[in-house]
Amino acid sequence: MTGYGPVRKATARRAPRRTDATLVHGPWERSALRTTLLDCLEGLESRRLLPADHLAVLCVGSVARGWANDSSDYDFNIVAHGPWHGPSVRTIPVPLRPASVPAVVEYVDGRRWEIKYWVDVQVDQMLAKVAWDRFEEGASTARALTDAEELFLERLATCLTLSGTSWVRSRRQELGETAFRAFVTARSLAEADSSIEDALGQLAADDVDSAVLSARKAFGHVVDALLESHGAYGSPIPKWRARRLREVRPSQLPYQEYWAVETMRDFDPRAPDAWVTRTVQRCRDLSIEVEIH
Amino acid sequence: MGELELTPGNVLRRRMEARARKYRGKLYIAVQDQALELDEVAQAIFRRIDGVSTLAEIAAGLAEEYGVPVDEATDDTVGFAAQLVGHGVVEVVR
Repeated sequence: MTGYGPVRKATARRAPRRTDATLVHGPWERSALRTTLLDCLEGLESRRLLPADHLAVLCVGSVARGWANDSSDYDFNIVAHGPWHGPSVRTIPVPLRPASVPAVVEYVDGRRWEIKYWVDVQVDQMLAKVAWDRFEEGASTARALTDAEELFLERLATCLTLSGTSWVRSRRQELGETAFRAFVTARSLAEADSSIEDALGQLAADDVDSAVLSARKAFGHVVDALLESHGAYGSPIPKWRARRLREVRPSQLPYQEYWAVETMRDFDPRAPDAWVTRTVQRCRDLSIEVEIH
Repeated sequence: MGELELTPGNVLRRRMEARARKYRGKLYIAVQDQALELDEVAQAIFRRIDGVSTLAEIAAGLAEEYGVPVDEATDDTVGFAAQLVGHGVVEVVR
């Protein structure tokens, strides 16, 4: 199973005809994507990729955020009462019960679709992992969620709902009442701290090149933390960091300054240690401004 | 932990080893396994420690912001700065 190439169509169960597709807010709404995404729901049905007991069909990822380009995949999360029994191209292990998330890949008109099948009780468990009492107990020092789980929850906040509007509304409300934002913000700050310690240690050992890479990594983490504190999630996929910063426009970090550091504009190869020191100091200054809430 | 004798003319900077967390209005600063919880005024002082400003300049800003006499602000600033140095959170530049 490579994750590439055509996939046999699912034959597990006949999906019922549904006519309640509702697209909700997002920059896509004024674009031609609206029609395209409605077609996707029909496309999932006609390919028998929609389980009969589904609760929600979510378009997620770059398309949902309005950041897609012509070659972008279409990513879907489907949530159902029970597990997916159709064929899958791969299975993502998750520390939940059931302990896996099957994924199917289809190519439709040359575009890659990836569909992940989640179960409603898995969502219950993920939300329980990021409850406030767990955060207060000190669980914030450890990773509460795997990347796959974190991506599911952050995408719940930003998805386009193709089906199951009331389910999504209810789950978003539940998510808003958890400490998810606090968990991911604290996690990114901890990773920034770790990279800063690396940078300082490497600098002290005259391993300057490594220190440069560690400082650059620390900056990425602290920017992620700043964005997460504003509810702009997505640190597991750093390629969208600039996009997220443009959307949030945090007063603590103007875009121009962010981009100058990210692209190492003032890096002088004759004095790399100075760049490390400046960048680490900026990370520390920014971390003071990141509210965990 | 012993406190250092500082004067209003001293310049301090925050140590890069010091980690910060802002949670529910409080700022926590930690070096190794020891953390300090800073209230609002302490935060105002800590934020002004930038490796350039003297403690007297920091105190003047504090006096203006909180409407307190400069002498009082200077005493508070120098005293608190000495605590921060003692805890290894900041260091003396000059």
